[in-house]
Amino acid sequence: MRVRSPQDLVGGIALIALAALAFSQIGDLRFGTASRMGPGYFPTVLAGLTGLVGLVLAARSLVLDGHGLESLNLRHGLPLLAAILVFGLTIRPLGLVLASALLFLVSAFASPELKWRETLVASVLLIGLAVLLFVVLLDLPFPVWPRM
Amino acid sequence: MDSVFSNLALGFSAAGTPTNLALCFIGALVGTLIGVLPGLGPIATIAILLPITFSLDPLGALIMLAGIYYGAQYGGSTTAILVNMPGETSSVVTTLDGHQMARQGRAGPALAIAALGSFFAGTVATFLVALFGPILASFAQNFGPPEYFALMLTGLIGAIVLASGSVLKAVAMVIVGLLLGCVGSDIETGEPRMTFGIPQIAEGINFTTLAVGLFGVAEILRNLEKTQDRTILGAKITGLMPTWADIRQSVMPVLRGTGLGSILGILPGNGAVLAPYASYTLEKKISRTPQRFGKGAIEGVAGPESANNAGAQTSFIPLLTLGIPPNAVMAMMVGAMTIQGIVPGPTVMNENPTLFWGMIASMWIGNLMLVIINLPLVGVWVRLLKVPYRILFPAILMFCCIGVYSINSSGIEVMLVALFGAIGYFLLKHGFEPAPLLLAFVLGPLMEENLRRSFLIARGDPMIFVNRPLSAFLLLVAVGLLILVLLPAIRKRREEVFHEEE
Repeated sequence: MRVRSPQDLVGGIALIALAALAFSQIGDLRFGTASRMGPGYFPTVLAGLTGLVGLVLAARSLVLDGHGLESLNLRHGLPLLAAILVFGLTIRPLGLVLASALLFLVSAFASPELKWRETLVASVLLIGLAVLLFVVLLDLPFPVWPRM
Repeated sequence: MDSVFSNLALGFSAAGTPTNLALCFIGALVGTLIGVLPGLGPIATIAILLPITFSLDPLGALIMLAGIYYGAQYGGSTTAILVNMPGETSSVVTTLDGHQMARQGRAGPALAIAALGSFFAGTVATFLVALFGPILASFAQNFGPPEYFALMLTGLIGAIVLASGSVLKAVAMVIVGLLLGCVGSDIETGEPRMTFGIPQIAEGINFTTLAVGLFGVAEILRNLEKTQDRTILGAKITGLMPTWADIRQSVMPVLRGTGLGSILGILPGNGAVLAPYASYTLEKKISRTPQRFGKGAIEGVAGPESANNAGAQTSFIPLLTLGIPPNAVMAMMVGAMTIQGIVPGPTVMNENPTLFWGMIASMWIGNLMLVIINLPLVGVWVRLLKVPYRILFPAILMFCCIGVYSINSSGIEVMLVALFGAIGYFLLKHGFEPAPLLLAFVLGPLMEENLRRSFLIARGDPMIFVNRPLSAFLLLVAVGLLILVLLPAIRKRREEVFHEEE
């Protein structure tokens, strides 16, 4: 058997996996009846439909020609996602200024062409702008510096 | 008719306060900015800026967010004409003739006609919203749960029909969106559903987190892998004013575009997206000189640009009168209203007339401001395009993170953005369009609630949806749309339309 549309096959498998994940989480939520739907009714139906569409998509990929897989761009992707995670982890203990600085540092590795001096100047300016906008002007409750 | 004018007067006095004028201006300006910049759409921008609106009053917040939306439509056409690069999907058609005009040294008239046509369309559409809004809202007062459920189902099917790419994948996106909407505590029993034991999503996935991840972060990822080549027309733009001949040629296309766009904008499922294509096709078909199209025909700019803006405006009608967002951007507006404690729906107009009419009036004011700021500032926008992406993307990323953090002061939610960003990138890479997902995510809880209520009324009998004439009609429309999209002839045509987009 030949896979005619690898893109659809992967998409279909992902949907089936998502359905399985949803079912594992629905667990023993009460399904109820049509006239009195329980909390599990809507999610169960939807998870079932997700799996079904996934199956059809995967099956179709063996019959209909489609797109091939595009390569995932991990070279840029991983540093970018890491930068978000670092910000999320450090914003509370380190405050806005240092967390943003770390975000710029890590995301610099995602840059198509890295120029350190330019990055430094831009990040200082942008962090200043962020503090001015969110803390000074909008008065949002942000920790700006690490708590001592 | 009288009440329309007195209502509009109320609206203009509400929207005309210095603060609201300033907010309208900021919104339109920011919108133009993101419309010009590639890789940052209105959905992501509204998501990022949502936290900023917390400190504003509801009217001010909505005025600013609406400004971002139609501002982006204007900005998108500027880059389409000058750089042959549509800043937004809605301005793809404008590249065809607009950029050709620019190459012939007629960038000025192209920009001017685009702006004036849009302004005219915006004026008419604003008036239409004012005229039909109250009628539709009073009609919607009779809606019961089955009608609302049927309406939302029709909207989602419309979104499937109008999504680009595979129909099956669009169906998948809608179902996944509905499924994600289920996450959080159950509306009746309060039991946690599919929360993975994470307390931050016990009340449901925050839709800002989802939108920023799916649209903001995933777009950055996709842009980073494209090599940037932008050929900006270096020549100075001289002679902004169109000639009389230009104007004469544009009048009818503008009128037709406005009509088409206004109708398509009201349709559920993001009909506004189709407006520019429909207008371009129409103009080319009825033109006595169709061979000029694609080579710098001014009708090919005037019609689609008007249609585009008219559609953008009238797509507010379902949101303001029925509380049902017709597209993903309007879904963001629902989020903004909910945060402000307003339940979108037919009651808004009666309970909060200042808000309703103020927002409508602000749309017209915003359109006027756009004409004024857009033309003189063209030079500034062009220079902005020269800012390299390596500086832009960390800045966008920082605003994404700060924006999400500021909603609940939760670092976990920022980390969820990374997760949704990865998912969004996976979707883009595998031919799934994320916009129907976001729409379904917002509609999901509403649909579940109305489905439960309908079945409660009918004691579990599904015939309730067919026995009530209005819901039966809506479901019939939904079935009709489905049949339409599955017909081989239409299917082929649909692929052609969206192929042009790429």
